[in-house]
Amino acid sequence: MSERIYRCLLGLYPPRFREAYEEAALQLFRDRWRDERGFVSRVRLWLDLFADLAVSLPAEYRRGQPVVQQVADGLPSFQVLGDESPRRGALLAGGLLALVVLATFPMSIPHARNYTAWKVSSRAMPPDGCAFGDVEILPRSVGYLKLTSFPDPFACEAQLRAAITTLDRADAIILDFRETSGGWLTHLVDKALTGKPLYILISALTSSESEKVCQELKKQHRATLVGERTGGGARLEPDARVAAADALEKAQELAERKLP
Amino acid sequence: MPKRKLDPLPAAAFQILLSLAGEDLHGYGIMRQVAEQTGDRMRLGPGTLYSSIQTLLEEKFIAEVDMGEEANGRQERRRYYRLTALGRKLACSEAERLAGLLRVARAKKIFRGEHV
Repeated sequence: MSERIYRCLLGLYPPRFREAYEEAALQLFRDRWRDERGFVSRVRLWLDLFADLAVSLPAEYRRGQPVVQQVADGLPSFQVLGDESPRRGALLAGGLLALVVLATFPMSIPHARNYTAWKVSSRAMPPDGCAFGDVEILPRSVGYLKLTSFPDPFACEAQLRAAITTLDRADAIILDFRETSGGWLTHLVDKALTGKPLYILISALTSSESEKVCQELKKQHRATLVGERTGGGARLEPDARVAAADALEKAQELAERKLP
Repeated sequence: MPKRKLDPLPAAAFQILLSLAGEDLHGYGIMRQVAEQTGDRMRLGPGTLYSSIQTLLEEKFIAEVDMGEEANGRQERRRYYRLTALGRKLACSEAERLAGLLRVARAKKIFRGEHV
């Protein structure tokens, strides 16, 4: 068994060496195997063999390389290292490999673009895609949008526009910012939802960009803030102070009062 | 001028030359002899051993001797190796080189205590 293993290892040597010394090397292995008994000796034997393999294998392969001779100092000299012509099979394999590489490159370009798009969208989109909230039309044509997450305005533009369009059909609008801090609506709301009573529900959880939207719309006297003081840096005071839980009811009441 | 393969002489090759100074040996014999003369510090593996032997043969520092059936009648035929005159000269010059080194080391008082 051990001899068979060593025979396999000897197969790693270049054919020239094997032809000349394989039998002798095996004989030496057999002699050592016979003479060195006991666990420690055997372990040492195998260690010796592997160390020997590591040292002599590269040396044997180097030996096969002809020594490149320099004709004279400073003069370039060229020498063919292999004196046999390549096998036909090797040429065929090389040609095929080159073709595969050449074909793979142009074919992979469209996929590469898909890959980058996928990466961008997977970063921008929440796990549930562009499901950023619910649009509802409440009784008496009050549009209600509750934001639950922050879709990327770039990736979800179509869905956002659809939501705004739906809202625009209503006579009054309630935006629920009680659980968000995103501000993607800014540029959409600027152009739409004008000329209608607009109520924004706020709470202590409302912060950052959402606050800015509120501030902006309030400055334009377009929005009425309903709920609790916001939790972000702006600390916006609501126009109608109620508990966050009751804000929707309050806003509905205010809207209905305004509507004819 | 092509570079000579055994210049400088590798330690393994030098040990093989020394091991053959006394008698002709086969591969395993050389390995044992080298182990003995180095106090078991150098155990030549088959690859290193036959690689060195190959080079030494090519450069004609050792020669193959066919001991044939008569010397090893019952065993399989083994190749024995013998030191050539050229090989002896090479071993001698290497030994002299080392002796020179040793002299320098002594002069520089590298050795400590009772050693040498």
